[in-house]
Amino acid sequence: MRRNRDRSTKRFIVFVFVVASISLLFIPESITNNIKVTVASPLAPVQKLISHTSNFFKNGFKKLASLSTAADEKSELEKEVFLLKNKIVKQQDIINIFKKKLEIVSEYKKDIDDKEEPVVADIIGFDVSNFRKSIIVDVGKKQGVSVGDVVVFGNALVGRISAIGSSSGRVMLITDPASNVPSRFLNSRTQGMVQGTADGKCVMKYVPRQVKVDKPEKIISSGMGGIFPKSLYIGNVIEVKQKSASLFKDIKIIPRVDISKIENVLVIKRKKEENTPE
Amino acid sequence: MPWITIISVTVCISLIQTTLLHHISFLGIQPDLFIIFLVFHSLNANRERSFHASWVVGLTKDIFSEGPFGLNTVLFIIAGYIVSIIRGNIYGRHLATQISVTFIISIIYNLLYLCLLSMLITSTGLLSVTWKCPLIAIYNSIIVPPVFWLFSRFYFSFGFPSSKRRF
Repeated sequence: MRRNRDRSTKRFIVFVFVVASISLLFIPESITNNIKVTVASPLAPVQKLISHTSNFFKNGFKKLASLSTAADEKSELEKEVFLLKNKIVKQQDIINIFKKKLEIVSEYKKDIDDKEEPVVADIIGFDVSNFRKSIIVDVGKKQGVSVGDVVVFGNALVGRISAIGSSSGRVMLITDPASNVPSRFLNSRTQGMVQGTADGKCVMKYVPRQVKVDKPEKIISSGMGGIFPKSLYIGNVIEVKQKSASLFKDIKIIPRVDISKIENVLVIKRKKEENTPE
Repeated sequence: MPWITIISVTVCISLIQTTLLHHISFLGIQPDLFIIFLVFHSLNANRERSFHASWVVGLTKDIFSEGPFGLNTVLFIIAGYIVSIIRGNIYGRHLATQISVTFIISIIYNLLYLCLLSMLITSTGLLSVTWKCPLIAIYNSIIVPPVFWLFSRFYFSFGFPSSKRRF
């Protein structure tokens, strides 16, 4: 009798756990993101320590393997070239805008820039899933970062803050399948939507079939929707396909920033507007 | 098996998975210690304990991953249940069995995850990465021997009931 009661109690507990697990799926994302960062935040200092230590050893092994000081110079030069190339892309885009005599747009950009403040953040963790692409950074509410802030590396787009804790935050990368970035081609100015594919690359959607796309074409953010600022370098076209019945082209993009090769990013903090007295 | 031990192991796995395993990623794929732990636990504990461990591991994976909260929890419960069912009919002590079960469970879990995720986040690019599923399963299977050995050593020292008998 008692054994049967124990068994039914255990079954009831299992049932409660299963129902609780399924009901978790229906909780709004804003609440679940808060739960995630609140639970994960206490581990952030440990993650930071492990990340720094592993990066230290990784860099040490790299240097040993190179067996030459030229490797240091090369990596420095590569960094410099990377930054300069990104700056060139941004400048090219600004020139294009001027060419089309869009002074109003450039004024708007200036206005936007005044409201932004960058914060350097270390990458302290990566997503545990093989099909999601996010990173954990060591800045949070304490540093004034909020959900939706844009994350860049050397003027190239990395992603945006999707959840924020007191001293750590989660960044949804542009390669995540749930990420959508309004974008355009640098030269042809045709607009589209860059989506992640979970394999470290992106696809550009909704580009009409009649648009001519060259393979090394660069893609930048268009600024549509107001979530991502305009003119940020996203990546380069590596493959263009056209299905016979499709209205749009299938364009594969390689992101400008390889997240596995960098250790820190820049979070563009939006300054809160001060209330002016009436 | 006290809850505290399961939680401690899960926290350690989370720290390793988030900070170190990306260094050994291949084609953007990294081994999934959560799945390996789930298989280890389900092969060595009874159904009830296996259920508890699956729930905790799934929930932890949800916490450290972007995306719908609860998806991993549900899938891990299913995966743990499958292992518990087949556990009685297989010889879980043999390395070949452990590798095979990890491979099969990894494939099932990843395919289910991918299907459900593509429905939940309405992304068109997700199903194109189905090729990753067998590769993840192979990678998980490759690291089964050292990881199972580590887990068995750990559980032996903490008095895991079946580990004394099996390992």
